[in-house]
Amino acid sequence: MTETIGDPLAADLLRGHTDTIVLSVLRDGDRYGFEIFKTIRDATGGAHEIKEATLYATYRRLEKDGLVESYWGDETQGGRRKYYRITDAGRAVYRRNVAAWHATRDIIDSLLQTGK
Amino acid sequence: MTSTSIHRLLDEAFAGAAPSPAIQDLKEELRTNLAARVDELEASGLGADAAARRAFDELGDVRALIADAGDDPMPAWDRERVRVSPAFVIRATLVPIAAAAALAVGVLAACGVIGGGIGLAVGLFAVVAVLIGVLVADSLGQDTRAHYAMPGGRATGYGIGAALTIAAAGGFALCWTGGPLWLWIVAAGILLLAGVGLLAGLGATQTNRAKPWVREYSAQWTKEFERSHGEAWERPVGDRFSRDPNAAARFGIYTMIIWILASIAGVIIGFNVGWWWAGLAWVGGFVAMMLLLTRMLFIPPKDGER
Repeated sequence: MTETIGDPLAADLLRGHTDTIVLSVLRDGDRYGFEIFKTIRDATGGAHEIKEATLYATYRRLEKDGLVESYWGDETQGGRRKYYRITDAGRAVYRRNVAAWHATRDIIDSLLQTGK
Repeated sequence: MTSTSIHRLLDEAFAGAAPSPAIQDLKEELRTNLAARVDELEASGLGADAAARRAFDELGDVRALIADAGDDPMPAWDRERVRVSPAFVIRATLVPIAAAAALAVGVLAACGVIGGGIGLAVGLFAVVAVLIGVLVADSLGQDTRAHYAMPGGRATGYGIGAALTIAAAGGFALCWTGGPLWLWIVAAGILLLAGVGLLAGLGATQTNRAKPWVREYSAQWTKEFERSHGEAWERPVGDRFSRDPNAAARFGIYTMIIWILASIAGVIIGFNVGWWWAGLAWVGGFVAMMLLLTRMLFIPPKDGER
């Protein structure tokens, strides 16, 4: 099977890992909403993007769980930007999710016999 | 250049949503992110209105987002919880220790217990004042409510006010060390005037009028009034102090400050020029108080002020 990133299956897979993807982006430094969106969009070569509305729901969930925290940055031309910062708990969850993903990927690879 | 369209589109999307802090935060967050996307689209050659429309459409289901923010699964106390900043804790611990050490050495130098003389004492008192000012500004600049910290300039102003006042206390303390008495009194008096004046000005202008959710609430309230009454809302006429207790309280504070400053000026003039002339300071204080009363009681407030 030829995989393209635009596949509904790939899109579903990506969506299922939105939390981990956002945490991963924030590991490199504090970002505001559109920066996070842009980083994800550019990382997939623009071929796929997670809807911004989905991302806002993700930020709220991550903040509620204490995995990220937010703060208002300085005034810009359009107003104040809300920045997100990953917490220590967020880093721990990120590492755990990445390990879980690697394990799952290996299992699926071997089940689908594409791994070797 | 950001199109004004995103503001209109946002207003339309948020029409009818309760103006709670959570909703207001979401609207502000969307606004700046939309502005960034519009800039990007305009840079790629799209017209201002088309860019705004496209950026807004790309957002996805904004209604669901608003409903979600309105539900606010996070308890209010948790949203408002102040997160500890380790760097601030370290600064708040080390700065007072340094200030106390500088003060102790400064006092020893002023008393002649250690060498260095008055010059060292003056230098160290200045260091103490600056350190306390830094501590005040740093503390006020911390994010303490609803993610809207005190603006940096205002926090710094409080810090400078505190530093000037502490420096004035140091100046008065030096009066007991000998040396030119008039110099210490005049220097300390000027520092105290500047410090108290600055702190009073900052205190009297401390409001949340500029916070986004207050502005939004005010605009919505006015709109609602016009809709239900069929006429534009106008500020009720009458005595300002009975209508606005905050203005009356501010006038009280200003008056107290004017008399404190007039008294200090009177003492300084008395010592340096002669006690017959000291009364001029009180006359000046009375004139200043009457001018302030006229200005605060009868001048109509600015547009948009509530």
